[in-house]
Amino acid sequence: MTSRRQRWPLVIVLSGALLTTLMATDVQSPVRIVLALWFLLVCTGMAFVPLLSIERPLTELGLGVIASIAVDSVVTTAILLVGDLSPATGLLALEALCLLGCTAQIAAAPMLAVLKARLTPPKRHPSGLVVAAPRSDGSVAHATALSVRPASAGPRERRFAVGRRMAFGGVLAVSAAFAMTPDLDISSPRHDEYQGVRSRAQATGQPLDVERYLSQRAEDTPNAQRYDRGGRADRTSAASGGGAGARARHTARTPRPRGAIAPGDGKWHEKGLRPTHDAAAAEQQVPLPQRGGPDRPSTPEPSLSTPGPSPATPRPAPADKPGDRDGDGVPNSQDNCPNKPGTNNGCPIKTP
Amino acid sequence: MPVALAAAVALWVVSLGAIDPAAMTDLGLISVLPASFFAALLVLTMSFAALVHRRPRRSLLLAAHLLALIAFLHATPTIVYGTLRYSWAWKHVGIVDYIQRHGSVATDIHALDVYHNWPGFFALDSLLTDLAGLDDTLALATWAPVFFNVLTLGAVLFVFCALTRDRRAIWLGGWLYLITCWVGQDYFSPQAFAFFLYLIVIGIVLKWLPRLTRSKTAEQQRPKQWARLSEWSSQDAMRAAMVALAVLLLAAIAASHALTAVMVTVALTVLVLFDICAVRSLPVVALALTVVWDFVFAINYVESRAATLSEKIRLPWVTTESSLTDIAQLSHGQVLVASVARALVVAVAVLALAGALRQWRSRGLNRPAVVLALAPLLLFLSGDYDGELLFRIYLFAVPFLAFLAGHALLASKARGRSWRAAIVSAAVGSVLLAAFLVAYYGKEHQYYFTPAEVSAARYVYTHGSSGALLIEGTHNYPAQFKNYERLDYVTIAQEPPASQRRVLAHPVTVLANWMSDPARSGAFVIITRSQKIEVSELGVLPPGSLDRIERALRASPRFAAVFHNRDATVFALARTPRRPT
Repeated sequence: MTSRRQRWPLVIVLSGALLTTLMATDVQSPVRIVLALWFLLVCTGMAFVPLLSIERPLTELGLGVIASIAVDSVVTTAILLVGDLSPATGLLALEALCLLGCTAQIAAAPMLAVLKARLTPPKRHPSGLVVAAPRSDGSVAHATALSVRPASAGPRERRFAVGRRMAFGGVLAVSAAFAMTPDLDISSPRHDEYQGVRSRAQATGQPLDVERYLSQRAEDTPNAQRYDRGGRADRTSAASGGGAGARARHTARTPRPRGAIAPGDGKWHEKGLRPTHDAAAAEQQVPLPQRGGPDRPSTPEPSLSTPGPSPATPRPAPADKPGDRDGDGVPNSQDNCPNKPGTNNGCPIKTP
Repeated sequence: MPVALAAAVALWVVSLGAIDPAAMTDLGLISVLPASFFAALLVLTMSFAALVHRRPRRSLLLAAHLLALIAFLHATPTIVYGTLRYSWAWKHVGIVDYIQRHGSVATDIHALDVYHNWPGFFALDSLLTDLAGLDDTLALATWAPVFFNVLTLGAVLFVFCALTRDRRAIWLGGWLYLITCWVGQDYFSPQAFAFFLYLIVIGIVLKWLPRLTRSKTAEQQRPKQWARLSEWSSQDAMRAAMVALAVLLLAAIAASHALTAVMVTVALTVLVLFDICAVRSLPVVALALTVVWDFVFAINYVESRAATLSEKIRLPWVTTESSLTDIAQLSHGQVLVASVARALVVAVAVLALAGALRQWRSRGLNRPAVVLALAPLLLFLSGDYDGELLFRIYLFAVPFLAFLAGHALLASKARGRSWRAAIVSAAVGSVLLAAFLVAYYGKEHQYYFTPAEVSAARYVYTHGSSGALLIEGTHNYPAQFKNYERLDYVTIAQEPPASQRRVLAHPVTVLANWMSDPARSGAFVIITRSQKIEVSELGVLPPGSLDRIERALRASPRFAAVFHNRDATVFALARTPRRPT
């Protein structure tokens, strides 16, 4: 992990140094042309884009090229307007920016891992405090850990502790500033949609049935759309607990991407996190609360890739009588099978 | 399919040796393309059509087909000519040359001042040229069409990925974009650079900053990657980073190309108004950047053009009529080229309409694509852009027209008619590609410059001292690519009609009078092969007028041919004391 974090800074610094050397010695070579293109089209952007911790390498590289072109263009134009655009000034300015980005990559990466974990709100569950850690594929690994705290014993963590805290505060301040901007809507789209579902449920006076809603969404999605080419399961099933089958498919087909934070895989230390008890035992899917129960998960947000029910979609009718979970008319206190509807003392009649 | 791709590449490589650009007629490059070139394109088209409908998940192979198409269409002139094509590309090289020498721009310069007022692209290219250790940017500019088409294709696919999850629609749209974008704005130019940035901004907005739509069809069409990235975008920091990147791109556009800055503002405004873009402040930021740049950094240019701007804003049909070339002036070949180009625009529009109707009937109309395809029409409010507005409107609309057109060729998944769809796509693609070859290559006869012409132009720009006068027959030659600010320019084809008549009637007297101004440090007349071709094919001067002028100057004792080769002649006054030798 450490090597991956230092990969781009190393490449960028070496590229800049080599290009500076070739320029200083005035070497005319096709290598210099390729190196100049590489530095201007890739390096300047990749000094910053890895800070976003995008897992897909192609997306990261594409954003790096885009950011490179934008940064190069703005910087060279600014120098030009000052009136002193030369190879030396242009290269020095871009190299300074690259160094800034590379330093941030090396210094801020552990902080970002902590930030990612902290941005996912913990959820209260009957079994105790549930900590949600985002996996790199977008799903959320739930751990019934008692607490998760940043590791602080390692020498690297101690070294970057001050910078980490400052950067953490800075990112939070920037995020808060954006969030407070009235016309800059940076709230989670998934959260928006979830709020819409909740408001519709409140309007119709029906309880918010998150599990059924998410299961229905998962069922409405064609299989061909639920799986991409690599056989990676849609998060709808996994993140929302869309049935055991969906979880099984997710487990079987979803390879853990590089850089994923999950307890038990030994990467918590590298991300600056450390569970306080056996991590392997902690990794488990949190059982979703019973329908209508008091402890609904706070963030089982529906996936955006699946259709949501329209307001006209008929919702399941609530139980006829209070205290009758399966709705078969037999109160729970007298129901031999309170979770299965049936007429045989509340149990379904078995057929031979 | 890989075998077909390899066969197509082999055919193309074989065809390159059989192309003689000097033998082109007024139909352009298509007149000298061998049968193997067309065979290569046909094989590639059929292979792609079969692949995109039968194996849409083979992304690498599909991408290889699109890259091969770019190579066939845009690397062919670069390889065959050996010189930079298109006169305006040479002028842009001249701006880079200026920045390399001065390290700054002069916004009130007497020639090509627009580029000094929007210098973003040139500044970046100047730095690239210097870092690469090149004397000038000609080598880079020669390959610019290939480079920009690859970049733009990536941006187009990026936008399409944000519009749909249907891989067939994404790849087919990319293919259709390449074979319908015939307006030729992919050369070494700020508009090609800014167009790429424009598409990226639109892609970022659609992919990472969208307003949620709750219709079922729109949700179904949203791509898988979007959902995966939206997991990230749910974090404020990620979305803020995307907003910051978009603002950076908007700044780069504002500093690079005036019309694209207007267009991106229009597009973002429309996306917000139609509730597609979540960041409502983004169009305001784009407008602010554009206004600040125009009225602070480019104020010299804006002030000088402000008086005539209101006169250029006319009704759309008036602008359209005035922007279209008068076919009566064109040669027979150019009439065919213009007609085919217009037919191609109509065909793309009809296909896009059919695709949109098909989406609408299946309750899956892609609203962002429709909005972005129609938004460029608002550019009619910005004037006629020196007669190029129609081209630019088509340029900004064609990615989304191609995307919608692709849906007209898709097979219904339920019916499993992919083979029929593949055959239809191959047929339609072949027809569109044939039209593209005529429209895109149709002016190559004028755009191709021989090495002899380049030598003549290099002589003028090397020997012309500061304050010298250069008289050109037309602008169509390797112009202004070196030390361009030293000279003053007079183009006979752009003179007022009365002045043109005087020159044509008495070339020796009139031109000698122009050139004998004692305040000037020197004066030249340059007449080249490509200037004569433009006169004969576009009718910018009476037919044969440049030949007559050349003969008259050659016969006159008042003029001396200071540089002469097969394709170009440079004249100077015989008695000019400071005549270069």
